[in-house]
Amino acid sequence: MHQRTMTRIFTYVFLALSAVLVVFPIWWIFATSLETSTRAYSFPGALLPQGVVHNYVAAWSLAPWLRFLVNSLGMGLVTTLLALLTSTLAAYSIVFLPNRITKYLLALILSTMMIPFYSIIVPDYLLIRDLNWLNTYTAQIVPFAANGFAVFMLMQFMRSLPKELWDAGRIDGVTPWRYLWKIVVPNLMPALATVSIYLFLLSWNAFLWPLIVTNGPQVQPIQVGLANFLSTANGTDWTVLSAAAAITTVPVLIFYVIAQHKIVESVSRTGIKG
Amino acid sequence: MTRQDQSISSYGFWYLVPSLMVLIVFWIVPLFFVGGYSFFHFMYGMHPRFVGFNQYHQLLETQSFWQALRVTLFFTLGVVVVGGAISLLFAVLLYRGMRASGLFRALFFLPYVMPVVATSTVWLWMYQPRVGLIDHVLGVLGLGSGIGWVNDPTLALVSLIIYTIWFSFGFTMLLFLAGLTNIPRDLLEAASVDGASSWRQFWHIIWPLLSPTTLFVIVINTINAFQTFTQIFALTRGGPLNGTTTLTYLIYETAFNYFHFGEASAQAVIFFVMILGLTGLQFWVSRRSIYYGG
Repeated sequence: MHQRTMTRIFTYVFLALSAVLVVFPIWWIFATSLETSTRAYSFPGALLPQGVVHNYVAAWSLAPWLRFLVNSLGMGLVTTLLALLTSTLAAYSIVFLPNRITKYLLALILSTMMIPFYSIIVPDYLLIRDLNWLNTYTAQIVPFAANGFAVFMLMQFMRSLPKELWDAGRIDGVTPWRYLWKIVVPNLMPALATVSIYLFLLSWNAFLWPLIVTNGPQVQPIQVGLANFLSTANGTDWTVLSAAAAITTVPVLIFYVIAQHKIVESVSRTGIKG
Repeated sequence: MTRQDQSISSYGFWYLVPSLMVLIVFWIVPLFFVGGYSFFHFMYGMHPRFVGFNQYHQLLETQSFWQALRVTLFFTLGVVVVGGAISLLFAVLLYRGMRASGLFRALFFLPYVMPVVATSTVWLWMYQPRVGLIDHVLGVLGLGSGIGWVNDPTLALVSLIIYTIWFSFGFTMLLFLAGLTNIPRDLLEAASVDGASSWRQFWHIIWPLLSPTTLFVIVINTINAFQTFTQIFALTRGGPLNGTTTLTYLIYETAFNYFHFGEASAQAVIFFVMILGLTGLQFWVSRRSIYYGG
């Protein structure tokens, strides 16, 4: 019994130390950003930050961070809504309105899960260029307005709805369109939330694609904005760079604290099915 | 199916049209184009010229391609094996019904949701020789200083692996935790009553029963590691001396720094075939895990 308690304590200490180590780099962004450069470059320096704010003033004046943030949020929301809509319609068709043709079309939709985006960036880039979509929101939204994996997940969720409900609806003469919006969608809200988080994170973390199809801050997402800031601010102080990194991190931190439970659930679920 | 249901099913097609349009135009057709381009010498602003399999031959003869392949494999091996072991350790520790395990889970997962460019920046700062934190701490401990964590070609790849494990192990941990919940707790309790040590419980009960999850994790992490790009761009830009140029970074560089679209397409085709093999493996594994996962 005594040994068990010891093991327990040891495990807790180990977990707590690990947690400190894992969270430390994120805290280090903020610590460095609140420090004068003389102190930041020496040891122990920023371990106890002084709380200066001039790095934020400098970083804020050097790039349109608010614009980047609005771009990321806006494109994330629009992409998520569009992909959610197209995927819900597709999954509904497969599950409730199957016929001989759609079976093959489903295979086509699901096959796109196997195409890594990196393997098609060249033709996609040339297509965007020929469409005259370079440096637009459209270029960053439309290719991701449908998603094979989201269709796949929503199909699984829809199959779990009781079939009797559908039969009853048929007898009462409810049209498929009404049935989708009045019965299926309201009953799938938790599933739709799970899929939305997956889609939003996908868009929020997009990097390579916006990097190659945009060239100005007007339409760039925040990660590309930060990366460009880092490469053009060569020679700039690490304290200012950290302030810039902190600016991009704060909204995510707030969102995570609020929706942590749902995000963890969504990721472990979508990861499992991935 | 009744006749009425059949007539209704004929509408089904229209519900698929929005998805199909996007996926065909931006995903499926480009896949055929990339195959086509790979047979053409095709540079930005130049007229494409058919060269057959020449570009594939050339690729297989250039050192930088093999180097990228080696870097990709080493990176993947490091992230999947070392990262996987760490994730499994934490999953098992948290699974044992600890108090506050939800808090630990949230903290370990935190790096995964942070913007990769932002966290890469702080790691780059910590990796700096002489002024960075890691060097400072090693110096205080008397373990040497002035180490080029991101300036030495070999070490840079290790630094990239360390960063990637830090940022992704929480995700892998969640996958393992989901797998662990399928293992009946009474089995472990019974073993515990019979006096089996934690170590024996792990090797004789958890490890074998978890094997479908483990296989799945290995495949999905391999696919993810193969497609790593953002942190390479933010931390090392594929350098120094191409020491961290993976296949994805090579494709990017060939296409968008040198504008050799044809050559990049040949690289992309090889990349696609490799991912296809891995995905095939994944489907095979997940089919198996349905049967064994209980």
